[in-house]
Amino acid sequence: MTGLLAIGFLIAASLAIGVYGVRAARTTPDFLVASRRVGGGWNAMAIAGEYVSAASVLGLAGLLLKDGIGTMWYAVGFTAGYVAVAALVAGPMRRSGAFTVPDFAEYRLASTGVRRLCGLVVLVIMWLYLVPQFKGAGVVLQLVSGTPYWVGVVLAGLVVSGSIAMGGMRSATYVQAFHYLVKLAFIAVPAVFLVVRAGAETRARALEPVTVPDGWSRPLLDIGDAGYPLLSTWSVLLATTLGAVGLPHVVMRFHTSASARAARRVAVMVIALLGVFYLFPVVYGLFGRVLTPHLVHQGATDTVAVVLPGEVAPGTLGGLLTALVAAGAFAAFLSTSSGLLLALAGGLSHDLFGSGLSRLRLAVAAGAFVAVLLSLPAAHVDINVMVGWAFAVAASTFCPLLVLGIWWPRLTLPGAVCGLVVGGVSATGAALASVAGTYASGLLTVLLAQPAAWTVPLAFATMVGVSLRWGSPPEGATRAVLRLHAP
Amino acid sequence: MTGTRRVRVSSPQTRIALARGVRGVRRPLPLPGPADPALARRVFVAQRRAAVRTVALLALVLFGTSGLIAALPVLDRLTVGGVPLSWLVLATATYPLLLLIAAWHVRAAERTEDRLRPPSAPTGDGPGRPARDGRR
Amino acid sequence: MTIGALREARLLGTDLRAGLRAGGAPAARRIRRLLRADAVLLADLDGPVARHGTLPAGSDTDALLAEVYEHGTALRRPPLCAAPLIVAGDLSGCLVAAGDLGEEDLGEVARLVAEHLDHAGLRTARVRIAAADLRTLRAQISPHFLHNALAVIAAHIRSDPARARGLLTDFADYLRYSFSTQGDYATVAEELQATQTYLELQRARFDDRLDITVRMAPEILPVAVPFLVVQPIVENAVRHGLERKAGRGHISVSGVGEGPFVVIEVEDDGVGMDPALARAVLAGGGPPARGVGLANVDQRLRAVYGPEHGLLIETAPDSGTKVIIRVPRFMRGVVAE
Repeated sequence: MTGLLAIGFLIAASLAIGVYGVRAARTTPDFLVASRRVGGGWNAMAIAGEYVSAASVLGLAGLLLKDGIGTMWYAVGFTAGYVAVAALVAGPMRRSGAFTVPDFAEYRLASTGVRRLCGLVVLVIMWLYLVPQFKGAGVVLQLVSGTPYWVGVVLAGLVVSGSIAMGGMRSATYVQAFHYLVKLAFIAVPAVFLVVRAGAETRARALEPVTVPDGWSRPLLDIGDAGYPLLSTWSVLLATTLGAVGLPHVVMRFHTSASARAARRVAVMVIALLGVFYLFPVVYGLFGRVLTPHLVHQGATDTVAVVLPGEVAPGTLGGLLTALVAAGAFAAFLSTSSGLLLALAGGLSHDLFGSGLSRLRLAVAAGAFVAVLLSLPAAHVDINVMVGWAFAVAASTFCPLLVLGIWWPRLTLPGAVCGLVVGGVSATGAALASVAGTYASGLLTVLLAQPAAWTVPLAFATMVGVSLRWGSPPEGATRAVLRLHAP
Repeated sequence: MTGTRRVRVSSPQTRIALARGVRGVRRPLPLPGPADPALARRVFVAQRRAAVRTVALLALVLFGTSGLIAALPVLDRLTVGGVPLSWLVLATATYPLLLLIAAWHVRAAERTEDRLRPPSAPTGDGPGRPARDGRR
Repeated sequence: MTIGALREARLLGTDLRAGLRAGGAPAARRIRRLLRADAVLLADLDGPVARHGTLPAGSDTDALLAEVYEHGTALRRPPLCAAPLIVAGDLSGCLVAAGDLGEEDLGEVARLVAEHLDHAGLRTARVRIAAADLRTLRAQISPHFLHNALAVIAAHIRSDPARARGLLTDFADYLRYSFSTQGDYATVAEELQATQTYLELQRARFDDRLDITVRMAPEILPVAVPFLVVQPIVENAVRHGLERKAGRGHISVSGVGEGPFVVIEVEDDGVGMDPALARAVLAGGGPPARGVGLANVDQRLRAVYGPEHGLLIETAPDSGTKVIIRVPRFMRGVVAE
């Protein structure tokens, strides 16, 4: 019950801030528009708030409990992505004026047709990313209120599309920034409490390497216990680092920065914010192994962060802490999904169907509906694994498009199109094949479960190869590229 | 307001385009290039060099730390304050390194921009139009 | 047969879309097929640019071209014949063909090629013309406002010198912005700034009978929009909505992002207008004194973003007016420098 109250309070606060974000400003002699630009710090917090998803709040702890300490490579990759963003895309994207990746494709390739393909890719990435968010919300609501999983998922779909309809699409920056703080506080406070309350013996046991299951304490990611820990780790690192570059809803946030310089600096601030945040999920995973090992057998490891405080401190205090984590997880769900849904709706109505004016609300509803449908059978797929796929697809499609588009004037339209298709089909296909069956070969298992290791180079090579062989760069390509870097 | 209900009107072209509901073909607008192409090319080359260097460093940190942990299992057994060294490297040591690399890159990129700024362009971030700060 | 020839002629135009240098090779191939010639060569004034088929051994094309360019007429030097390409009255190239063909046929094809090249030139000019159009459409500062602003500053000089100084600074800022020559676009923040200074001056004129509310989502402030689109709408609201109204007036300027779009609304509680008149103003008619600013903004918005992004006006007599701008956040070529 406390959990539901906390979540209700969170939703109300978010709506209030959404209204306050576009607050009325009476004209006074001191009224300065310039000073009302979003400051870098706020923007960085908003980006981090939108980026730290259910995957980070629930999924990392859950996967850590299940697969071992190596899971933290996901977190390292999520953070490292912003080094690549700062170095490769933030500044030039801001100078291009593009709001979305399809916008950038049109800017650089001088073709409106390519928008449609990009819109399709946006849809694939966003749905792959939305499903784990909805799963997280369903799991949390199930835990705090005892409703069946599907009720939680449907409810989450209603809440997020409702909050977007009630003005969430108008001014999200401060809401997202608020959600970052909520998530940080609500994951950090119970974590510190856990460490203090658990007692010296539990603390020591949590830090003790274990031999069962095999490799749990080895800080590498051995996907599917296939026996290729380094390859798996590198593939995950490639996917998460380069995926962050190509995530459509992340790219959009840099449009809010006042200048290219500001955009770059914001990306650096995000690294710091993420680094602080990712110190905490590891606490839940380590203590979960000592205190709630039964979750592994129940296949419910994604719930560990919510369950754990109750285990350590039964009664009101535990209930309160559980409510905190639940609200934090719900904030993660709400902010990430509304960002994702908006990007998805934009891609659906604006790019894919080219309907000039707003079918946006309809697209939001349709996007949420499909995401809910896809989430219903996904109750037992790990949150973090699905998020990994979304990143892998982004890394194999939009990352090469943006990086080559910004830094290589020779990129041609046929090259970009072929690369997008090859990268998108191979990465999505691998993920689907990985869900569909089990494979005898360990190497094959790894390369299908986390395909970035081969799909990213393949996509880059296709774009470069086709560009060199066919077509010439669009008219004014050199000018378009140079403008992205001119101070 | 006491008057009659408002009516929405637009130009005939807009009315028809909105009724059709599909974006038409637009006239392409000229895309302005950089003011000084030669200078812009120098900036581009310098920034690309910085970007390549940063990405190489990033790869070194990511693949280096994971490679180190894979190559030296002994790190799992060494402990610092009860925590295995390899865990510490993974969970805490990488983030400051990442921050450092990014901050370094931003500094290099901004220096390049300051050094190779066209003389006519305004300094700092803002557009060249008047700022109202501190005028009263 | 005739339709086939027409088709070939049209496709030749597609080949030559970007000019002789870019599309010479496919054009030469098509011309060779059209004339059933052994070989075809296209040249501009600097020399050959494209060839299809093998010219007879020992043919001196350079000398032939020089001769054509000297006389400006078709020439026959078996097995070659040559015809000049006269584009828009200027000699600009030459078509050479080898084989058994009539001089008349070659001349006809040369005129067709010249025609297509002329079109290609016009096509590139069209983009420039669109830009120049935009520049001529750029909002003009209204003499009415200049006069009023100076009058109100003069009126304050004795009674409230500090205010007069402030207003003069506002006026200077406003002029500097409107006369600014950099680019055709500005950010929403800059537009608001200009609107703000304008409203400050108007408030002084109205003896502060004017209430202003500005509500802006901060996300849209860096978005680029055509230069001076907000201020003329506000000016229209003041001049035609509030000036004739007795008592206090209120103007609200608000802006939000809606997915890939930016929506800016200017609303006043003034006297409103007859919807038929509003429609006439936007259609380009209506009395010249009314809504020149609105029609101009509408025209520019449509020229930049396409017809579906023209102004929307919601109004009725005695019900105030709301003007809505709804444009994409990104449009290729729209950049605030």
